[in-house]
Amino acid sequence: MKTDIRLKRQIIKASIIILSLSVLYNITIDAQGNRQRNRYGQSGASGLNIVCSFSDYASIAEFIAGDMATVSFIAQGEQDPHFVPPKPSYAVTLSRADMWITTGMDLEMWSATLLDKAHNRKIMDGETGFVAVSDGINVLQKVDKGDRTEGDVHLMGNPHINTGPVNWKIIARNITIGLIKVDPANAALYQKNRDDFIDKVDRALFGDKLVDLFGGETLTRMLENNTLFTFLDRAYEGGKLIDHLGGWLKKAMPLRGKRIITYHKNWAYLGNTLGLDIVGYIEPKPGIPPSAKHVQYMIDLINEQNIKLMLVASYFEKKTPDMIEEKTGIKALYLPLFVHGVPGINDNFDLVDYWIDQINANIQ
Amino acid sequence: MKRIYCIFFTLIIFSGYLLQAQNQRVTSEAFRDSLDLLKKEIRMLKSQNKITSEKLDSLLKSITIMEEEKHAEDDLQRLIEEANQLAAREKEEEETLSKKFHSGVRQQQGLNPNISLGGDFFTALSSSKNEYITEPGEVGYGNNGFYMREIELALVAPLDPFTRGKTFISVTKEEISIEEAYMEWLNLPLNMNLKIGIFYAEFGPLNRYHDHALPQFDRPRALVNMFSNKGLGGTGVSSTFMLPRILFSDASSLDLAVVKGTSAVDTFSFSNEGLQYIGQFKNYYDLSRSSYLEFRFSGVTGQNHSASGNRSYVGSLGMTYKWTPVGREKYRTIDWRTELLYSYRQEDTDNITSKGFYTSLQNKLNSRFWIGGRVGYSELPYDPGQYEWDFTVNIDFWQSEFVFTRIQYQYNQRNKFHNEIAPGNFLPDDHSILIQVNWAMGPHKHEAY
Repeated sequence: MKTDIRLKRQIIKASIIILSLSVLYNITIDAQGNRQRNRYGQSGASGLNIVCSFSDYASIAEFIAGDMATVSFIAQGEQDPHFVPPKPSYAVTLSRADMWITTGMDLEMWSATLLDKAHNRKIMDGETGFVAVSDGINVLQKVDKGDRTEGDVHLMGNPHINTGPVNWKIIARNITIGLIKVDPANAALYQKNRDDFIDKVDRALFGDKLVDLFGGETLTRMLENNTLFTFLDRAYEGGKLIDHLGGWLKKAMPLRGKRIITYHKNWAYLGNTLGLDIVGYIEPKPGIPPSAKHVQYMIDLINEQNIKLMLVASYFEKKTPDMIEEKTGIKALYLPLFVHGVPGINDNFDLVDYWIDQINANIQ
Repeated sequence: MKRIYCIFFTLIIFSGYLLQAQNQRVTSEAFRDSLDLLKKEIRMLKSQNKITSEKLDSLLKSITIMEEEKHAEDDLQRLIEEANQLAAREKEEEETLSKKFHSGVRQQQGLNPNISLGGDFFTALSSSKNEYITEPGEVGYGNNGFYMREIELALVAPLDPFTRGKTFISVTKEEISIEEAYMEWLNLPLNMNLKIGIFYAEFGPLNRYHDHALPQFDRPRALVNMFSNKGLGGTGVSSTFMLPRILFSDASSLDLAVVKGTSAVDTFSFSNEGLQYIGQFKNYYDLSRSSYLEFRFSGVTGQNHSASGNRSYVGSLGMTYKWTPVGREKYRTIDWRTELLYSYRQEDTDNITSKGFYTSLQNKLNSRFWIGGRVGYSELPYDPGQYEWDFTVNIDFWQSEFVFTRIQYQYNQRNKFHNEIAPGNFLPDDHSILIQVNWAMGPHKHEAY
């Protein structure tokens, strides 16, 4: 009997020791946990811990925060942004965040569960550490008819804002506001980095010459209100202004006005920027898988409307686009929607370079 | 005289000539000097002229350049002005007399909760006699008829910056009941959330699932026999703590709840007398980017239906494995849930132990089709000699995220009595085929991770 009691006590003691050691071990590695997840910088002097819903926002946050923060993200670059399982480990990651950067529309529906489980008041909606990057963006495809006859509709409009380089500038401004709120001591640094980022976007988009002549903001506004290319037709220095266009818009000049179809509405902002004419979708309605009848309709549309390319985010099924490719001869181009969606795409600039190169190489 | 005149005249002429010559000589020298000067001046002028000409050319050239620059500047300025005008252009809104004005005073719908309404319809055929199976779900669902299992009304809204409110009302043909209705404080000290109201308790992988979200049509028999067809829960208070990570996990949590149960039938483990105390420890492991494993250790105690305040204790070990390949979430998922249950029941004469288990698998084949299956075994908590097995396979067709149709085959092997339906006899084994159609209006979907 005494032996039994002694044995039980030993088992209890051993259990307590094992549990204590495991807790200690986990607490020790917790400090490194986010750093292990982080694909960008290193933990900075002020030790801000920024968690983003998507890698694209993380890439911009990294640029602006520089060495002042550790930046990580939840959804993987190749993941469907609509369907991210709200795992408990993500809630743990969010529980330690100083800042949560999210789209702010109705794309990351999965994030509500995580925030409720994270026990972190400072990153809840409306709090100092909560940043909704879509604020101020000219949202496309706003919903006129908010019911499910339109499929899995986004009530606030098209939330795939990361595909529009012009939007990054607003995203950067919103992230900077968030950073200044959580770390006002480094406001000047964040503002400078924001301005550098915006200048980099402008030069990547329009080229140096036009940015020097007219400024990025003016060019951006003209691009957004569809007056840029009329303006670039003006005479200048014995030629035309468009001769001085550079950057992605110059690379994408052959694409302007070309008709394409996409699987889902996630390329609307890119199409708008590059002048691609998106005339149909492989999904009959957002979130509704294509039926045989709709696929036949798309094949007819492609043949009748001289459509040049199918653009498909890489997380969609390949069977239907491949079948349409086989029947029509136009290319089904699978592209990552986010930074790190394929190896070597380490920031937003890499991503758009990759998109335009791939589209140019595959459009007919 | 004439000669004198001639000579005088000649002299005059000569002197005149001499004078003239003298004058001419003087004039010639001056002229020559002048010419030299002129030549010199001309040479100077010539030299200066050359410089002036070059200067003039240079000046003219400068003027031309300046003119061109000015012109270019004018052009650029004009272009910049035009650019600014174009950039500032807004889409013009037409002013129209048909415009109507509205007040926000009566338009406060934006503050309404998210309202959803779900329908759960089924029809079933059973090989056993109809009279054995009266209430849908009491014994089985093979009722040889058409039924609405329930209409679920869901109301979800933030109450204020600190709390959330959720209410789920179940409506059947016979009754309206509250499935869950609670408010929850988020972000309390000690990494705690606190819930009060009516709710399903955190206990094992499936107890909290509403019927429409179950991986198979019906609840596993082990849960039904332990906690009734409504699951374990009641009115009370519940807290969830996020713990430091334990045993090398990626997340650990502890749930504690005290509820007053709702079961009124004495075949289940607990009575409505007294309170039920429920706890669950959960450890979660990320196996890879695409898969995870979760363990749950759950326990509950409360008074049972036997006399003199005897208690029952039910323990559970639950495990969930999920594989959802990154980038293919829409098309592939494997979800495996298993739970072992052990019950200890105090009785006046003797104490009773019983056990049960189920293992349920779901496999998503593509964006629309799932196949699944379940095997379950359950001893009755008050008599382990009575038990039942269930074997289930199902195929689900999701036409969208909000509507699915399920076809389910189930074989129930019963070694169990039912005094009202089959007095003195075991309930019959049966084969049943069931078709379920489930739909949801509004935003509510079951959030499973």
